[in-house]
Amino acid sequence: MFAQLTELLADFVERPEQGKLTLLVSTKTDASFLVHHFLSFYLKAGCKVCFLALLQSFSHYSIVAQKLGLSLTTAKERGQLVFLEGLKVSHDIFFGKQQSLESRPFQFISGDGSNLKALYEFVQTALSPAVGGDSWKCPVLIVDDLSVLLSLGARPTDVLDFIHYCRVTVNSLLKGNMVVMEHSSDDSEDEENELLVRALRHQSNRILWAEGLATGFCKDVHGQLTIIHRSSWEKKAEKDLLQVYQYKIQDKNVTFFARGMSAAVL
Amino acid sequence: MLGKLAAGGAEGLLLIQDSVSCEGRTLLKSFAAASAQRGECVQVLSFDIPEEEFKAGFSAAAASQLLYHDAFRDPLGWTGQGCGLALEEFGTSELVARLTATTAGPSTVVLDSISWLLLRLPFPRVCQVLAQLPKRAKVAGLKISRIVALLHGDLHQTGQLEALHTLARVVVKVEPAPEPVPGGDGAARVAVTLHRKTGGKVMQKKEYFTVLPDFILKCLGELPEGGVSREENDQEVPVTVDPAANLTFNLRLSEAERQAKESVPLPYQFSEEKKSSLLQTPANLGKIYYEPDAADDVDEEDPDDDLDV
Repeated sequence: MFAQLTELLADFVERPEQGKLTLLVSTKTDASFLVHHFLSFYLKAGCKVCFLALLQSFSHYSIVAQKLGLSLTTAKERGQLVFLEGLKVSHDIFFGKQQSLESRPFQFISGDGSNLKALYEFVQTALSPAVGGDSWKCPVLIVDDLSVLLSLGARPTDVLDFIHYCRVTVNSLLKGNMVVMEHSSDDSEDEENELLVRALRHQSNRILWAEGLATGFCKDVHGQLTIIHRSSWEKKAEKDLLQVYQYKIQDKNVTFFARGMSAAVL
Repeated sequence: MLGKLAAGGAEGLLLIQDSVSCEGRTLLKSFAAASAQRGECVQVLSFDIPEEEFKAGFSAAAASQLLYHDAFRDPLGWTGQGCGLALEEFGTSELVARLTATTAGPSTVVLDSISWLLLRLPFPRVCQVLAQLPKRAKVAGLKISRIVALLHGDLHQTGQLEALHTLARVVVKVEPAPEPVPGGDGAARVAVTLHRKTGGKVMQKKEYFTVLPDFILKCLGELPEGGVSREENDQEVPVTVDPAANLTFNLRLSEAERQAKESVPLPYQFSEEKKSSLLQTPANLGKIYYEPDAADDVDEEDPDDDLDV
């Protein structure tokens, strides 16, 4: 969890906002620090988290979380975190391991024309409140990242259906939050991916857009983050609110500053 | 013009086309609120957002006129709750049955959003339903005075968009305002409206608008003509400016300079004098006498032997 980012987003660990869809987009840069931020933020806030990790292994996320002062293993054991390791599951399906219960969410890869319903059901069971009632705050779904599903052969409408149902369950019924990571680029020729990003931008309440610097790589400024608060009726804002910052990723922290105000320049 | 359309001047299909940079849902809701205020029944088919989010912001009187068909909660039947509208039910006869079951008075049908359907259903089917719904409903005894549909313009191909535009009576494209508008407290947007009237007359207007609380539409006047073609104006500006006006060097020739320039023979032009001077052998030819050095080792076969090549 990066304190500065929490401050910029006006999000509080004590009472995180509810029922919001946050879209993380990266253009020509690696914005995984945002995923790590939200993962640790919601775990620290005491939310029940379902994490669909399609991009990296558990140990990767675990090591990064440890640097941020959090143990994913403990969170898993306490039942706070439900972790789906996409790499492992898809590998099992591709290389002929027995169809286990664990690989059911990824049934669509096997090419039997099925959609992402099984994956949605996994999310639903993971986040539905336990019968006895548990002490966790609002449920949170984090996906890193959605374009992997496209690469695994799902059609964009399948992915949109999946997101739609997650919104129904997580955002609308359970009043929880969703954080979805995506890649995008203006000159990309991957039309399916661009369609997915645009459709998600219409649905999301908040967009965090990380871009590499247009002028190229720099040692002291790693990129630019645009925070877009989508206009909403409750906030009486008809126009999207835009904040632009530049950031530098350090070992255990990320510093944000106004454009052109890097410590190296001043 | 937008105000007149919202106040009931539009019949048939009305499309509100928005994009990621400028949302059009508030305009859609203001059309719904205006219909409700006239006492019409507003039937909402909502796919994009949940009921409470759609109903948020309506006055109590307007909200009571809204008949909500929830297609958000379970459109594909994944959860098996079976409530609300499902995707397969989006056919003319099913919709007519559903709409007539709830009311008989003149209705406005609100579709939020048609993009959701277009991404999942075949394009012709959606168009057919849109075109046939009012006629079939009339047969069944329900007057649908207008269908107001929200369309996310950046999710579809231009061909599909154009086909939908020809199907619609009114197309309103919502765009962000290029500059702050006086009286718009920074929230004004631009609506480009195309209205095909029943007489066959087509009108197009570009105007500023904003949506006040309780979804009351407020028009802030038309865009000045200059504002419409500002980009073209920008391109024209460099044409009128003379680029050779303030130069530190001279680009122009005076008459004497031009003559002097033209009188210079160019190297490839052969005049008689030049030809003769080249062909004439000079009287005292220069000769080269060469006496080989004693140490010279001239190789007849390779005269360049001594060159270090």
